[in-house]
Order: sequence, then structure tokens, then C-alpha cells
Amino acid sequence: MGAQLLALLAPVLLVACSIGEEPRRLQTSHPAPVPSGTVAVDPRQPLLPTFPCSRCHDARVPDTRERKLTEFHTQKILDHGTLGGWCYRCHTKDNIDRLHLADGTLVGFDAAYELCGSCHGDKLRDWKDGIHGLTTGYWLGARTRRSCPACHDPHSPHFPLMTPEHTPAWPRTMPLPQASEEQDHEPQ
Amino acid sequence: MSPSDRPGTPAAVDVPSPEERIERLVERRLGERGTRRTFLKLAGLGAAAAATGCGSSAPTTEEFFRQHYKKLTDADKERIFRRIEEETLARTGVATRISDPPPIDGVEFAYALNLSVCNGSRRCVEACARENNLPDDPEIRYIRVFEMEAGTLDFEDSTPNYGTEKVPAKGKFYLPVQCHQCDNPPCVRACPVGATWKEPDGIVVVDYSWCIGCRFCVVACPYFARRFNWTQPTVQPERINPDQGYLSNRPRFKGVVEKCTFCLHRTRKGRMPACLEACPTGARKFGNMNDPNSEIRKIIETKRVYVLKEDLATLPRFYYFFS
Repeated sequence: MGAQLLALLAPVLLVACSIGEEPRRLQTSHPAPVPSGTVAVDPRQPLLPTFPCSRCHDARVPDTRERKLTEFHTQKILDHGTLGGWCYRCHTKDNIDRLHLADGTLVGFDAAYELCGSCHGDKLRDWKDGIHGLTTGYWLGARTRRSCPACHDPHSPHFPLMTPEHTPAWPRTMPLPQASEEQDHEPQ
Repeated sequence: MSPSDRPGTPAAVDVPSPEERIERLVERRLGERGTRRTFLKLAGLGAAAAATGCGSSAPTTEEFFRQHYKKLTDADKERIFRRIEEETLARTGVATRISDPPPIDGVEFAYALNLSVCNGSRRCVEACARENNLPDDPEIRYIRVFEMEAGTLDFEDSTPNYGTEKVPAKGKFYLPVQCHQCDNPPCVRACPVGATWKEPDGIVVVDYSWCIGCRFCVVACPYFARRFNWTQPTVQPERINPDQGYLSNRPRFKGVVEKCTFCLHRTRKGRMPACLEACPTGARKFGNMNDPNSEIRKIIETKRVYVLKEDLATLPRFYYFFS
């Protein structure tokens, strides 16, 4: 099954360079009596506030030194394991609107999961199978899967801490005497 | 029991026989409390007035003489649904739509939860409450999220009542528990009136109108997944979910048991459950176990899944896994 999926994805990778194309569809073949439908990957590119990057970067000389960014992208903190190589480890020096895999293959931001998966292969496999990551919509029909950067900032990929919803009133299920006039149960 | 009720010394002459005692007790109770029980008695005598409104939990005459859900014809259901919609509209001013989607042929639901990524944010708990019209006072929630010690699976050391500090806390992991929709459900066997049963797609449902409120199922459930309405449950009108299922999130009333139904009003129409869509980490997975290509099947086939309290042979449809 995994091999089939990869085979299906290979052409997707090759055409991943075109901008603004349809979101990729991971085909799930379905000989089952009730097929579970299709999965679309949420596109990332429309959510990037400064895309296309080339608008500014074409006028700048790439600086590959590790340094604190003070002019632009000042919020970006690179805290991604032992990932060396600064920005251009993932972004592409001579084609800033694209990312690139280790072998130089260019991928668009919409297919960033392929780049993530080049190190986190087990997660990519699980994600393609729908085991890792959030998929919403219809279990029977069309559903949408979040791409990796939707939950993990690639520059600092730890899932952020969250404030939980309120503590349950559990195990008290009965209202306190002053909380409700309408008490129908007997005091023990 | 007040002091005057206590039996006197064994030598006392006017000690009532047990039968007399019970009779007196019942009479006094019925006499002094204008409650559902009194009402039921009166309704049984044919003296039923249409006692709707006023937040009363008493059923209407039609409701009282209603057949069991499984014996209802489509026309019966249609009439009942419309009546409930009208009652809801009169009570809250919210136009709701009650449907009763049947189980889909060839579909058996299962749920899986990734404990490696669940971060205990309780978003599922609240989304479930909104979707299923759960009351806030007294608070009823179908899902409990346990904060567990890392490296253990010991519920003795866990708590569902952790505070609102940032999660996940260091050295903890989180394990949400809700109805497991067991294939061998102890709650169904405990019900003396057949008000709860297992549907062909695996969901255990409750006919709220048939439930007598004995709460046997509540204590029979080893996962503590069933909730009892001790008072008339009320939901603020602006928070009412108008998309209602007859066997899931329609209005409930005082004295009946309710539980998670995998959001059957959504899932039987092909949608994902509300808790799944609310999960910020994507820990929850849902699907059709009969489809070999479904996500849920891949999890069960490729991950090491386990169920809670496997030794009780309840055969849950709710799987936990680590990734």
C-alpha cells in the first residue's frame, strides 16, 4: 500500500513546481463495499503572508552566514535539532520561491511535507496513511489533511504548549444545594 | 430518615409490619412531592393534562404512551420528531431539525486515539459538549481526559481534574476516556427495560424516552462513560446545536441516562465526530473498520493498539496507540 502511494506521488513531486495549482490528492484506492473517499492536502502557499519571496529576495544577495536576523523575518527562531546550513538548508538560494530536497529536487511550499519527510520518514509514512496529523471533513467522502507546517513551525517545530479548557466539575454531577432550586433526589 | 421514623424498642406495640411501612412510606412520598412520579401515577389514571413548559420534566401523554423506538414506524417517528422540534422551539426559541440517520450497510465504526500526541488541551471535551447539547450546570461531559504519569498506565495515580496550567505538563501524558462502544457491552445487559442497545454499525445508543432512570447501566459500565441527568438539563439557546439526532443529541430530560454516540447524527452522514475535528494535535482517528483502506484499519493493522480493561472482555471499539 505504501509503495503504491509513493508511486502515485512520484509524478506529483515532479510537477510540484507550478504555483497555485490544485491541492494534491492522495488517491486511496477503494475496493471496499463502502469506500472511505478521497483526501486532499491543505495548501500552504496561500497562507504565506509574504509570498512570493522572490519579490524581495531577487534584489538581495543571499547571505548564508548564521546570524540573528534583525532586518526581516525577525520572529523566526531556528530551533530545529542539529539542522545546520541556515536558511538555505531547506530554502533554495537561486530559486527562493521553492524548497529543495537533499538531492536538489525542488518542491513547492504546498508539498513541504516531502521535505519534512526526507528526514522524518516514519512520520511522513504515517501521515500519508492518515495516522499522523489532523484530517477533517468526511470519513465517507472528501476530507482535508493538514500539511506538516500547519501544526509545526518548520523553523521551531515543537508543538506549542496550550492552555487547556476549564477543569471539569467532575466527579460532582449533582448541583450544589444553592446552585439549583429544583432538587428531586433524596439526601442520603 | 427522621428520628420519628426509627422503629421503637422491640417491645413497642405499634411497630408496623414491613408491608405497612412500605405502603405508608410510598403514600407519604407521593403525597408530599409534586414530582415526575406523582405525575406518572396521575397520567396512568387518565388524568393527564398536557404538562409541558415550566421546565417540567414530565412527559406528555403521547410521550408517555409511546412505543419502544424499535417498534416505531416511519410515520410515528416523523410525528414524534416534529413534536419535539415544536417543543424545543416553544421552550427555547431555537429552530432545530431532528433526524434519525440509519446505520450504513457494511460500515462498522471504530475510533483510535494517539496517546503520543494527545496534549490534554480538552478541546475535544468542549467541542463534544457543544455538538451534543450537554448542559453546563450540572456539568455533563462525555469525555474525561486523564493526566497520567509518564511511563505508567496506572489510573490510581492519574487525575481528570488537572488545572488550566499549560499542557502538556512535564512528565505527564494524557489519556481521554469516553464511551468505548463495546461489542460486548455490560451496560446493555444491565438495562432491565431494553432502553439501550447496540446498533449494527457498532454504536451503543439510548432511547431516552424509554429509559426509566434506574442507572444500572451507569454502574455496569467499567469506563464510567454514562451520565445521568439529575436535573432538567438546560442549554443556553445560543449554544444549542440545531442539527440533532433522535438517538444522539436531541433534548434530554431529567431522570434519563445519556452517553457518547460517536456523534451518530454526523458520522452516519459521513462526517467525522466533533471531538476529532476539534483536536488540535490530530490525535483522534475515526473510520470504517470494514474498509481495508481506511485510516482506522491502517492504524489497527500497523500500530500496536490496545484497549482499556481488556481483561473484562468488553471488546471496545475504541483503541489507543502510540506512534
